[in-house]
Amino acid sequence: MEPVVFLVTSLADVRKDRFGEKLHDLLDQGVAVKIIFADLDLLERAEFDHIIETLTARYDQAVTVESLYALFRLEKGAQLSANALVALAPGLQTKRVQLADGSYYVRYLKDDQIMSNDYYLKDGRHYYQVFYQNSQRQQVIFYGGQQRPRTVRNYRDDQAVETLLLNHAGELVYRFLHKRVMSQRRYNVSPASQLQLTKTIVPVTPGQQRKKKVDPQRTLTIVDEPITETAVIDYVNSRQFDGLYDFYGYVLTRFGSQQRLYVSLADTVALTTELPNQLIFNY
Amino acid sequence: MRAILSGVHPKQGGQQSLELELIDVPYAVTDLAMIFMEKNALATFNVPIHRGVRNNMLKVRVDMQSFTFEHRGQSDFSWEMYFAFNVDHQPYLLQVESEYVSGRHQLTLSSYFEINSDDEEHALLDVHTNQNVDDFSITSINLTQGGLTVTGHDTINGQRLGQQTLILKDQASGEQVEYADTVNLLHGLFAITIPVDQLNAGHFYDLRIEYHFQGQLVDQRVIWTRALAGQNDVQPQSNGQTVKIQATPTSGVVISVLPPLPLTAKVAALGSKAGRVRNKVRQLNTKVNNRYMRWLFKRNHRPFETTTIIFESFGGRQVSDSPLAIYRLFKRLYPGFQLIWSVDRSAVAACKANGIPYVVRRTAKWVRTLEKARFWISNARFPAWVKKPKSVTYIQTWHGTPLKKLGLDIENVTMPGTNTAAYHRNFVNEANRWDALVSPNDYSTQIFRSAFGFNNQILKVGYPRNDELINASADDITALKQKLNIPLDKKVVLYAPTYRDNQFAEKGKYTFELPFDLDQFKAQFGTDTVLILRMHYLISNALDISGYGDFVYDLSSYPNISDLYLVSDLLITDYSSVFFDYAYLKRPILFYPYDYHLYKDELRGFYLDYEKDLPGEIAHDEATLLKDIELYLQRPDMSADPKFQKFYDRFCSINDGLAAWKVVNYVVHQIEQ
Repeated sequence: MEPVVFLVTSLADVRKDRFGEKLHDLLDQGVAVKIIFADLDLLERAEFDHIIETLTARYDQAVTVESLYALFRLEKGAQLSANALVALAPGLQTKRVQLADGSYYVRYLKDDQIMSNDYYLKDGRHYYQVFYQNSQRQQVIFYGGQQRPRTVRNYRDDQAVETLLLNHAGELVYRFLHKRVMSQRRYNVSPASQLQLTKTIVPVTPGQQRKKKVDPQRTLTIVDEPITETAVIDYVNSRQFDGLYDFYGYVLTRFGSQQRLYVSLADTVALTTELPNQLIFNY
Repeated sequence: MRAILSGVHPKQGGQQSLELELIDVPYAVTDLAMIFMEKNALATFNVPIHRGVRNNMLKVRVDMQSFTFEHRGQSDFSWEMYFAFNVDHQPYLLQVESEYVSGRHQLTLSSYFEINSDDEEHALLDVHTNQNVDDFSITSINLTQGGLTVTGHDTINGQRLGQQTLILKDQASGEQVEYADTVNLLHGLFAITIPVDQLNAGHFYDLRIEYHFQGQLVDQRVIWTRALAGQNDVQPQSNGQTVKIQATPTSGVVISVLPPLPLTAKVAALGSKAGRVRNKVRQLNTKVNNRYMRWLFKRNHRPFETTTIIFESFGGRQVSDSPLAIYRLFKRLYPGFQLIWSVDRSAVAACKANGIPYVVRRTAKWVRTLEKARFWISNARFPAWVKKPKSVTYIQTWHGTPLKKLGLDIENVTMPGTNTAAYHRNFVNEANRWDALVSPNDYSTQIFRSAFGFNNQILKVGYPRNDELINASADDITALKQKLNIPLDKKVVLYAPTYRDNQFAEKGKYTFELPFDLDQFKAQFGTDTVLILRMHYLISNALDISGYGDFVYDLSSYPNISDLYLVSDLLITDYSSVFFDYAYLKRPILFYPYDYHLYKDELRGFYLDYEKDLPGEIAHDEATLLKDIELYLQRPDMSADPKFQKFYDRFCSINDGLAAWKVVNYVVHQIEQ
């Protein structure tokens, strides 16, 4: 069987039982597996790594994990503005906190205000740094064990408003703008339908009988819920992306058509639209 | 909001066109796509739809090769279908329901697909690969007086099979009986009958088939994958032997020949017969005793043990139309079912003459038979007081592509004894008792939905009555002409006008005149043309055509109008919906609305624009009519006429000649569920 590429867009994806089942199924067959970690919340990377490590512990075969940084690190980008990265004022109090797994962080304090927590791996490599303003997150810079920042995430009122993907030279290659909006999703599928438009699947009461004729399937379900819309600005090719799934589609096509794609069922409807006529497996 | 799969049609290059009917979907829809999801492997793919929605219908072309893939040796693929679209950037997703009736579409020797529906009536596209290349699945198998008759598809993915030969192979001696006398049963289906009266008693025969496909001789085992219910699987022979069809555990077919019963066995059978009579008498007593009880149980009726199908045409006045076409196919393919016609007393003689089982309407037996049946197949409404039990599936074939407005589409009902609201209510109540409604085209589907307020299953399969128009061969037409005594060397013009209320002519009081001069007609065309008249019987009675014996044929009372379509080269009509059916033949149609000025008000109540949408020329006067006849008799095939072809594409596009077969399949599918 051809090599397999998993697209992971959130931590919830890998927490699903079906992800583990599919992964084990493929590893049992000796299929080469690559995972693209495309979750823009890089702070979830540590837990992701831990889950993958647990899932693949009994296999000799390695699972390759690619990040968005690794994919685009050699692309030419735009210079970051001078004040794009938050800098700490000199003379702050510092306090080193040792964690049980051997990693540690350095806390920067100005009187009673935490200004930053700077995290290091147990081997001393720089992992990420969180900056605070009025005790709320202001910016997260993700180093991922490297000297230079890889990804920067900016917050307003503790909500992520943008994520900046950088290349190996620290230039900006992609800017992701996040906006919380109320969305109405409409669907006419039954609880038994495999495909759902939203991540919120119509709840099925335990033991609920499936009737021969289910009236609700004839009617449209309308769900109002806040969702995060993400716009993508391309500094590499100035390509116009119609949202995050268009970008994900682009990421997947960079792997060529020889790979078998696995995406989360929750992303399927949006993603298949970006990859027409392509067979996509789901987990 | 609903999306319903209403048809699947093979296209060139092995592609299939899926047709969706959309209900309550808003107009400004964008980014249309079909998303297919394979249930077992959880694989999806998205087919963007570039064509817009037209008349609430949507077509998607798919390549069946896309529906199989390598996944842990999986060979059976079951695809759910979803219709996705946006309105104002808001995403919508509808799971497609299934109302399409599908048989088995063979893709290769070892793969096929079929459309099914799950237990929530959502559509499933099931593709089966890695089938045994040694197996040939047949569509029916029956023993009749003539022998063993087997039917099957005569194409694989659009490519014809040739020289089909059925083989009965003696399991003991290996000797073979071969039969290659293939007849085309319907377009796409072949039938072969093997005489079985010479088979050896006590022997078992395996059934195999040989045929040519893509330049190769293919030899396969015949398989029957369903229960034999409905097939006639036992047939006593004149020599006392009994021939039986048996299905093996691996779906193979074995024909066994049982020797005549010895005398002792006959005597024993006689004893058991007597026992059965005693039992019957006992049962009768019990029945009488239970009668009062049953009365108390509000006369509930238990369905017949044998699957029973009731047929009715035009309220029992005829044995005709689509129910007859479906009945004939049932009789041929499923003679094991009980097939009964519900008829008025006036039609009893015709039933007796043709050996058609019947029950007379409005009798106690009729009520009992109706209530105990499993299916009703009718082309018109049953009276409202006929109670439809829950166990009955009621298939309404309707009796024509609608031309005049129907039901809810009649805005102002002026009939005596009812008002608009009551008329509409009755129509909707009746229509929603129909579990399935046969539709010949998308135009009719839309009208049925709006006019009948019909929300159940539409079987868009074409009109079964028109199958014979599509399937008839040149030899069939010659035979019909001979039967009707029509000269084979002459062209035939069929005149079939609408009956007008104001034409009421009391028999014998005066003679009805045709709206054109017969003498002139004869002078102009009489040497090489004949005229068939198809009028209302009251008009026909009042017509005097004496003196035109070798030129005019009054076939107004001939039972099957399709035969008249088949033998004719040109149709003249006015406001009758006959042209919808006649158009299947692609022969010229002329419209002669000689009293157009009187009929104009009526035309407002038509669904079509009389001036624009008709598939032929309109002649408003006799001179134009005669000129047009002359012109169009020279154009036997109207395919090249853009206006005609547009009409044909709109109304006659379901032209596979398999409508009756699809309804039969639907019924069998319901039984098997």
